Amino acid sequence: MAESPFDALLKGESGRNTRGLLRIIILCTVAAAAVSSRLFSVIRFESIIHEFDPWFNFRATKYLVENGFHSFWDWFDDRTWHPLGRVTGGTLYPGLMVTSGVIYHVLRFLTIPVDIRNVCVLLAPAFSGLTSLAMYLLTSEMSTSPSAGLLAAAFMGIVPGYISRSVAGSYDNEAIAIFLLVFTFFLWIKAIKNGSIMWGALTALFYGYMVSAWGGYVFITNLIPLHVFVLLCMGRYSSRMYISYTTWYALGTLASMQIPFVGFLPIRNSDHMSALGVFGLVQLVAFADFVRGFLPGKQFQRLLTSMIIITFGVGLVGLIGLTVSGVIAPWSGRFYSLWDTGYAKVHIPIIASVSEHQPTAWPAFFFDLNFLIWLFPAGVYMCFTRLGDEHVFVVIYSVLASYFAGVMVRLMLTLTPIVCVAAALVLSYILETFLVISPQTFQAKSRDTSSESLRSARSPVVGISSYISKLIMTSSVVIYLLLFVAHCTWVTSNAYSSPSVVLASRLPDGSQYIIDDYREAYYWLRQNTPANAKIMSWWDYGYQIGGMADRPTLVDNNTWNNTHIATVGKAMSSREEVSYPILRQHDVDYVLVVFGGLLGYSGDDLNKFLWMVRISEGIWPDEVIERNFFTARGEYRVDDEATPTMRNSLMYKLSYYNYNTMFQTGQAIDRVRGSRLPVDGPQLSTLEEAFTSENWIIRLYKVKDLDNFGRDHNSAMAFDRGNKRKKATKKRGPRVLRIE
Amino acid sequence: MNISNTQYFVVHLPEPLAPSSEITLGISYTLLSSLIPRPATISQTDRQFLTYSFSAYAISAYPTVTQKTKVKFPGTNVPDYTTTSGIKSGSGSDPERQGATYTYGPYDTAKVAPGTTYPITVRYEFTKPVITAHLLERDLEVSHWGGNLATEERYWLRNNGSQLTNQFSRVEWTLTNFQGLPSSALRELKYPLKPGSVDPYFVDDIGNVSTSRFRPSTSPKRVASLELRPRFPVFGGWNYSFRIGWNNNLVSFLRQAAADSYVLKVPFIEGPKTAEGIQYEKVVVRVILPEGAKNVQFETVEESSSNGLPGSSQIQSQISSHKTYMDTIGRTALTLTVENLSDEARDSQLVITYNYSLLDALRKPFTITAGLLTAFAAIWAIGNIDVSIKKR
Repeated sequence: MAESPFDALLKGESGRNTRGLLRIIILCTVAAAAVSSRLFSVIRFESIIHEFDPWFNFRATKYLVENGFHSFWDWFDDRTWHPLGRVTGGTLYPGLMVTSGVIYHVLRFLTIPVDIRNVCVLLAPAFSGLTSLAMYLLTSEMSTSPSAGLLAAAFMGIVPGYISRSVAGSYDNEAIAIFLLVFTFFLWIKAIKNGSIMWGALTALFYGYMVSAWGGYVFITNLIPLHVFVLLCMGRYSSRMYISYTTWYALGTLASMQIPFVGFLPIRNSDHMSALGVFGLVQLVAFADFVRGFLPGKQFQRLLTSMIIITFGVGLVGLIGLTVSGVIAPWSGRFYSLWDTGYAKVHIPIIASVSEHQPTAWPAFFFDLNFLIWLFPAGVYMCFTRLGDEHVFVVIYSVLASYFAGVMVRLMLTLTPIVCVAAALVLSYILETFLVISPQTFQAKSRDTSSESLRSARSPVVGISSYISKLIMTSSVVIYLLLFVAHCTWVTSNAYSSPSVVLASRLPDGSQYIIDDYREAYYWLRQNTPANAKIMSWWDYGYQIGGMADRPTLVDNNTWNNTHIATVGKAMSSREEVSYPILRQHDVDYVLVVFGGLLGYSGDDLNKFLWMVRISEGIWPDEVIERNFFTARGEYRVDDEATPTMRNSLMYKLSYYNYNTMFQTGQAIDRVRGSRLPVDGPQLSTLEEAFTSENWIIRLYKVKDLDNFGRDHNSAMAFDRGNKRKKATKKRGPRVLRIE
Repeated sequence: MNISNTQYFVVHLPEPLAPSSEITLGISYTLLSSLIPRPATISQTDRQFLTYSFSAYAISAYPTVTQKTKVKFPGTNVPDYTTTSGIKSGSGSDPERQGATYTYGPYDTAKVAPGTTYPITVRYEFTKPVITAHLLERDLEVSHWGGNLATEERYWLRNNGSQLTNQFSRVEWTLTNFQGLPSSALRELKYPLKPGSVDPYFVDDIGNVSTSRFRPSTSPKRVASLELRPRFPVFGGWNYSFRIGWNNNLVSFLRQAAADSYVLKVPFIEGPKTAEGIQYEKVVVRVILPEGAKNVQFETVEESSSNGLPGSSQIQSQISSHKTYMDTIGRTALTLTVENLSDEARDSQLVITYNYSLLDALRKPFTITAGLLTAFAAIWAIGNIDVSIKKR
């Protein structure tokens, strides 16, 4: 028997309070675990913005904080995409920056001296705490069991699939978008359950916030209509659905159109047409439902059939007509690449060149979700067995997200929430079945029912009474949970917590050695070059140069202008004589390349070089030819056997210039590609080495000015070296056949 | 040089000098920004030479009888120096060389009018960085509640030595470092910290500089040392700006003079200690006193060996308010601005007296309590509002 003080706490009115308090404490602990498991990189390194895109978001946030909201909205950035510039205010999702700007100003109002960088770094962990709370709310709508929500919250807090995009310093749109995604879905479920305008309006509000934060809002835009459509097809039309959907669609569309980057897309883009179509359909169904009350059955059938045919025909013709005439934009390329994974590689190499747009490998599912991935189908099955309106939602979401996660690695992020919901539903069911200790409850229940109903109608007593099986099941679940926690910690610590701006390695004595080449070179640029010196680099580094070096760049990670990127690719992959005019035309002062050959850092520019070639070949197929960079046997080589095109390309020269002087003659080795380099290093005539970082990862070259004597650089260099000028061969006339 | 370019200093003698008696005055002064690298550009491994121009006759408002100028060089490699002819009173060459010391004179200047100049230029090897801080901002934050003195310094450094003829070559730099050759580039700064200094940091605009090392003091008497290595070697004409900071226990700096009156004694500047010295073009020292401190007064105290700190008339002071960490009326901040300061001022102390009562100390707990109570009351009030549209 339980002790009496516990009885007093766990039963009746005070029992409810105790459970409520416990739930709050558990949720707070879950949120704390979610936050703290994301702090590995802050503790190991420092409070620093990670990777590439976050640097732009950080720079934009600083701009917002310094110049105010209004000028942020109208921000034309002339320090990127030189000489084109970028209408930054109109081409970004401002939700993230505005969120951290608001947090910053609130803290400043309370005179807490917080640095905007720390706000940005810690935003993602803070929002992941909120995500797990939203997850609790969403899952609690799916199940009557209180433990399902708590389990889902805990899963969401530490699952690597979500941590991968939300560690401290990973200041990207996804940092707040996943919270908004989950919370919007919770509100939607609430709305469709209650048929309340308030919940519908709240859904629209958070949908608007989501639109302002992440391009992935299209997922919500299509998922909610699909949910409604499936419910309609299942014959589950109700006024609740009508109220919630129309409220959400009307308000949500208006809200989404307030974002300059989205603008009129919701009524002009194919991606958004399903929401509009379902909106119309709901009206028709509502009308039909209304008419049915007044008409006899047969007439109604005829009316309904003709109406469906007419509207469908008109709608289809209208849609095709508008698409052809160009009022409605056709599907975007990124959208096509979702259906055909080979599409991007052929048509849009720039999308395919990003590793996170590659199809997902199977082990990635286990890596990111661990044992949740095999609980997931069981959870979906359980939703099928119950099949309320909200369970239909889970089923649709699961099917869609599973498909998308298989197509693109980064869309694993949208799959993760629903996996957590499904797995929590299953696990809570298992735990509730097996964790009940006393077998008397079953007997008590069966005795109650027997007195009320007939023996034959009574459902058979189903339950597990053996302690052994309970013990085995419970302990195995506990072991799985412990393994899950261990796996999550390991993955977070080893795979997802590297800032990638700072690299860490170990010295032979075990002490940590920090390779800080990126910041060394960026800070050199920031301190020792004119404030408007234009830097040309491959687009991966554009945001970092803008953020850390504070210098104008030619291209960056925004990749809005494929031709401009191809121009940079062409300059990198052509001979110096071709590249130099391009550099001069674009006012380039410095060229930055990343070279990992000395250290064995494999993410360097020579390994990305083929993408530059491919992208520029897309624009200039006659001048840049990918085949010429491969040897006759089709190998990509940098050593003696490299093709002349390869060895004369600017990228090759910039990477290996002066590199062989670090070694004894003929001993120069590229540690990334594992090949011995030619004895004679490449010669440069139009550029000069300006700075090389300590481990040679970043190499900066200054573009020479025109020669003072009007010579071309090659002959000027030859003169400086003291070479005798080649006698111009005597000009002979065209050969003529002697006919004497 | 004409007279109007000359700045006059008035020296008051402690006792009036009796007629036909003698007194020996030692006047020391520091000239900043007076060394010019020649050649102005060198290649990366070359030695660096500086020139210094001065007059053989010292500038004086009074007629002098005899003069002698000794120039001490950091090394014996002095390739060029002006030799005078016909103005030296004795025999022998002018200047006279003795190791690294060159002596101009003695000159018989009884007949030379004050203000006459005889230009002399010397050029000597100095393969070390010419470090110039064109701005140093130094914040000292006094916290009575925490018993803590937090120091933060922001430096904007520049190397005023010869610039590079060609661009920087990493290969040559690796070789120079490997062979331990001298270089005109700034490699490292050693910053001595007072014993008991803790939590040091060394950051710049883009984050922590991972190449620093802190050696804490092993005994309470020994100074701690902060070794700062810039991200890249700072060659002539290059800049490097950074920020460092640390904490000290307030006890060793603060004394309670009366019931409500306190005396704070802190170094005016500290700065890295290098053999070649650092020149500061502008120094802004800001002392942030606790919230509500009144009657702030300051004075500078020079120790016997120190010099280089200008008189109080040259120090601009300003009292402002600084709001941080949930302040209501803001902390009293005393800002002192000095232009042109040499490294040798690092021993001089700044003494500040101010009044601070118990009531001031209790202001913050009261504010926070009141703020939290207001927040709770507001939440309770909002929770009680019924906004539903159903009929009651």
